[in-house]
Amino acid sequence: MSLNAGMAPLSRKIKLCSALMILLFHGNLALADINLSGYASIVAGRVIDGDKFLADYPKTGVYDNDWSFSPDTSLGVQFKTDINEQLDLVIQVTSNGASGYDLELDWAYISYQFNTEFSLQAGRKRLPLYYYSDFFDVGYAYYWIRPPADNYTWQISNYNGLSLLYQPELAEWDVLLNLYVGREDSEDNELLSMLMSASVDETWKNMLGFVAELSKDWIELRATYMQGELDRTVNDLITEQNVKQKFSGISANFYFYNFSILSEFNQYRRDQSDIHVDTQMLSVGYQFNDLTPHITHSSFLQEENLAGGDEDHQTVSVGLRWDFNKTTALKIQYDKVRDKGANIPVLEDSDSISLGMDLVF
Amino acid sequence: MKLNIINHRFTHLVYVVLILVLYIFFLNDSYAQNSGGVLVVWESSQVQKTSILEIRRIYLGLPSSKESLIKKPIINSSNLTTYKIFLKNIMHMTEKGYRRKIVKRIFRQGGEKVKEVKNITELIDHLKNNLNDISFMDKETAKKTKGLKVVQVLW
Repeated sequence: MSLNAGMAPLSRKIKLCSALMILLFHGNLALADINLSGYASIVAGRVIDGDKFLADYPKTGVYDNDWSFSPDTSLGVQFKTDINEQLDLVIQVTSNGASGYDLELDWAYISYQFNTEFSLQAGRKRLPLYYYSDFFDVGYAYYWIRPPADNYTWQISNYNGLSLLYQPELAEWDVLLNLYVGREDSEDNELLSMLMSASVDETWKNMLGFVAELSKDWIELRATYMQGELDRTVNDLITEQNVKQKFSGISANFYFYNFSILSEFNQYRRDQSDIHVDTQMLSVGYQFNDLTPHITHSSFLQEENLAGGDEDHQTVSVGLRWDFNKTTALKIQYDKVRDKGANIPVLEDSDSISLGMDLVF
Repeated sequence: MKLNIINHRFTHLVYVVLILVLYIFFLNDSYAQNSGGVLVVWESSQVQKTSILEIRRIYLGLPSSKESLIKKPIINSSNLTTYKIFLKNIMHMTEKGYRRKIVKRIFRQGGEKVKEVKNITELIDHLKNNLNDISFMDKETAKKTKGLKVVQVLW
């Protein structure tokens, strides 16, 4: 297993180098044709009461009693080039403190634009389960230091497959319909390996998902559904195979004058393993010119099952975002976690403080 | 007697607040209505008039129709008042909301940044060298600026 664990990052680096080489040496491309965008979040934080705070579930970013930059600091660079009028190549390389600042390939896909409304992507993308899933690391796009941790507890963040996007014209409404299929193999999965104190390989396969978004100036509505199968190996022993799983969620965000009201409700069901998880979030922000104070309540509830698994934790977050200039935001946030899990208390109660700077370029 | 005075003062306060709200509402409205905005290109451009909905989609980073011949949108922030009216009348969102939407589109769907120019000279240079790119400005500035062609009235 140690060989596998060592091979995983190496494999990722090989894939990354291959992709970059294809990008740079493709006959039809010149560096001048590459459109470059990026983001960075530099965040420092610490637990001020309690022992540990699991701020980033997928990458296992954990704060303790010492100031640390690792759990939430991240950097991403996106390369996009038009291969021809209808075909684009998009690659996003990321580096996160929680993953030891290794370079990872978050997005790598080609996109074919059929017409102004339909496009098809093939390759590697972020898995769009939750509202903030596919721009989870782009801190500039939301007012928190990070999206509420209680909601964003999934162990698989990406998928390799196909994605069909439909963005029709509908008066002043913006519409996005997304149908996707794919799979992801995660060797030595960071979150599960940490929670189980063992080496866990996880595969999500035969994924079929759908996202529908409808928005205009004062409202954003989103519905999401995904079904698929799961395989799991713990310390090289198969513990789950072809287990069916379902995820569904809705989000509704409202913007009235200077108020933002953000909400999200999600359900995860794996009946065969008797796992039923409900997560929810409600947040209110108010924008005074460049300052946005906000308060958020989020919760994660997994009912006790036959295997004795349960979890129940809630977080109240209070923070302030300052739009320092058009591309930079400074943030401060206080998080109070109350962990009521009887059999599996994830990381128990904690109060934490975080300070961050998010920028896009 | 004392209660009546308090009630009376409260009623006055409600009227004052109401008048202020109406004043701000109508002031903003007339301010938006009185400023005319147009879509501009370089004078030798072949870009065609298109729907306001398509202009909105193009400024959100979505692809344009082949008929319009538009390649890229340019944000003209040389006049912040016109820029804000453009966002209000065409995009139906605030500046912060627009920026947030563009950032999300870039990193979720591989979109491109929308180029922003802060002075008219830079805008003229850009449109001259990119005949299929479009921008917006107020009518008066468009009239006074040599080399530009008005494709259509936006508001």
